[in-house]
Amino acid sequence: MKSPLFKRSLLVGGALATLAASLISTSTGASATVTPQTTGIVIAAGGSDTTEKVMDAIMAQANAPTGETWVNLASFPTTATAVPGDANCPTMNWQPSGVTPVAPDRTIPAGSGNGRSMLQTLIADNNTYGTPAVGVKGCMEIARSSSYSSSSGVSAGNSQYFAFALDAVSWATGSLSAPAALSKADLVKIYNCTYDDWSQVPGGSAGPIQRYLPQTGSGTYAFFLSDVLGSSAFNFGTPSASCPAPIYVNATGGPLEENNASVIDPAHWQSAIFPYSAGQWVYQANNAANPTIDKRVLPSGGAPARLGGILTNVDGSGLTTTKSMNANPAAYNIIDRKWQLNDAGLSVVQPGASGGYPITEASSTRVNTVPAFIGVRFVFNVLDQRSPNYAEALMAVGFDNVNGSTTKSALCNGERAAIIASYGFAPLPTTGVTGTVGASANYNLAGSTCRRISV
Amino acid sequence: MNRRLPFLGGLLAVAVVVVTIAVISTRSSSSSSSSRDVEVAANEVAAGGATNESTESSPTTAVTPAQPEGPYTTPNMPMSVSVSTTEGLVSGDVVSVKASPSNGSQAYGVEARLCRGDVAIAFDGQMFPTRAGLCLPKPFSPGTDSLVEVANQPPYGPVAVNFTVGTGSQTFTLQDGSQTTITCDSTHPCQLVLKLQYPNGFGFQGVPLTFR
Repeated sequence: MKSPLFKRSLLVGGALATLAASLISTSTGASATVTPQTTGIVIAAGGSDTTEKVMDAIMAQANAPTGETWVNLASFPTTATAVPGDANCPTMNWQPSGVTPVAPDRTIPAGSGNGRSMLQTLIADNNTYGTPAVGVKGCMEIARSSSYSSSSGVSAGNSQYFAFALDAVSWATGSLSAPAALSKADLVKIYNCTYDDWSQVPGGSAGPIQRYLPQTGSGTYAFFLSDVLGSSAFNFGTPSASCPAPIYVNATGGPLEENNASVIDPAHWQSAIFPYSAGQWVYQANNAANPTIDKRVLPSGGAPARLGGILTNVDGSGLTTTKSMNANPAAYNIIDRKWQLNDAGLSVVQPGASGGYPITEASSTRVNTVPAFIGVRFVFNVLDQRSPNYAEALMAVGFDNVNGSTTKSALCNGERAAIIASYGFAPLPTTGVTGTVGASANYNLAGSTCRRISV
Repeated sequence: MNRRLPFLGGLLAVAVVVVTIAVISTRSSSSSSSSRDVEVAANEVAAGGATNESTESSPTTAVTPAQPEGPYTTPNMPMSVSVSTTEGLVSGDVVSVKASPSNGSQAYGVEARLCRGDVAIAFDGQMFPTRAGLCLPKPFSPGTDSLVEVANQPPYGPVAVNFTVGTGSQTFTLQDGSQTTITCDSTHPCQLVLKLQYPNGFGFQGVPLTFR
């Protein structure tokens, strides 16, 4: 039995402790703002190959606030990538595929799905390393992602997708037998083995077809199945002598890096069909003089892989017609004498394209479930609100989606539009659009040049 | 002993409060210091005359890195550039550029555009006339250039570019629907922006041009 004095002591102490706790709570609230709080913070991004280069430029150290180190991990490095440690991560050596890492080191995430999964894995990891003990929850704060999933590699209530540009996924080939454009139905028939020869599609000529797909952790792979072929569980049919199984590896047997025609088996150059990011195709085409950037060409040379169009019956004015027109996601800007995405901006300076201007926000399936054009997508950076450096990551690639909020990263404040265009993607305007998907109505209350889609 | 318990309990709680306030103070101080560091760094650059951009001072907005005003050169490029006379030019003069790879590197190509002289061009997108409105979409007059591209061949040694400059004023429409005007003449210096291609990347060098 406790004495009255003891009880009084508990009451007085408890009251003061409550006061202290309220102050602590206030302190926590203050530190949850998005202002960089301390020096020595390391912000790392990894995942999508498609957005690696543009994020290299966006996350250049010159863009980082004082006291922060920004690291953008390559998707397919050949050697280990050393990243300095901070209060929430020991010094890490991110190992390339094929090298078994020793904790706390990890295998570098290659592809959007792997990037998102790595972010979740690290946040869930309670192990600590070294003296003083440091956990790994802050070893990667940003998952680059060229695809959206509400279930894979994300955590409900915690994950946030920040779309920062538009891209499109279409098909590409080096084959002289392939037509300039395919309907969605014909593309599906090629990938499900109904068709196995280019002569079976309108505009094609005789020649076998070999289906290629990037490694399955890639966002382009996931998006090609879900949005272009129409099903994440797409049935590739039964392989046969005339319709060989899809190939997921490069000419040397390694995982097939997306948006890289140069690593396709040269023996398949005339038969291969493969998904390609239009933004990456544009970027590579605009740097065609540089063989280390232009991956549309085989190492032995020759003509580059063509980006195919997807036939549409929407004309240049956005009206439905009875004609099928080639809506290629990339177009040549004859004024700039450069390639760019076939977007609304191009329609201003180069009007009248018969196949319309397919790269619009309204054509993303994040906005409309049945868009006028297929293959248009957002590209994202994914954050997790439980990340120890969430506030700093938000100020690197995100914004606070509060009506009228001025809390925007430079990326989401329009200041990186030239960089986005430089790498072949289409920057987003400050005004979002509404559509048939619920998240679209209020995903840009702040009027940013990004869009936030929470999971 | 029992009478001391309330006092001891209160003392303990007060200690917690003091420690808490100290932590808050430290964090607040750290935050302020961090913000000040950013502002000082930006102002130092501005004082050097290398920027005209305002620096965000709000603690809730991103820090915009200072950009130099006028011609910009990507640091640490594995190429060097030599240029013929760039001052007192008249329409029809040829500016000769030689871009040479550093030892062990290669020069894959050069793209040259005539652009406004008062801006820093550090990305492709800034060179696209209808995107950024900083470079000419077409020559000022027949026989002059707005864009010259030279793709090199193996073994990718030095690249030569001959660019015929023009003078005048040109107004054109951008992709956002707005219009802009670029003028190059005796009172409006311009720049020849070079995009230099080398292994695993590219960089930019702005060459100031003056006219008479």
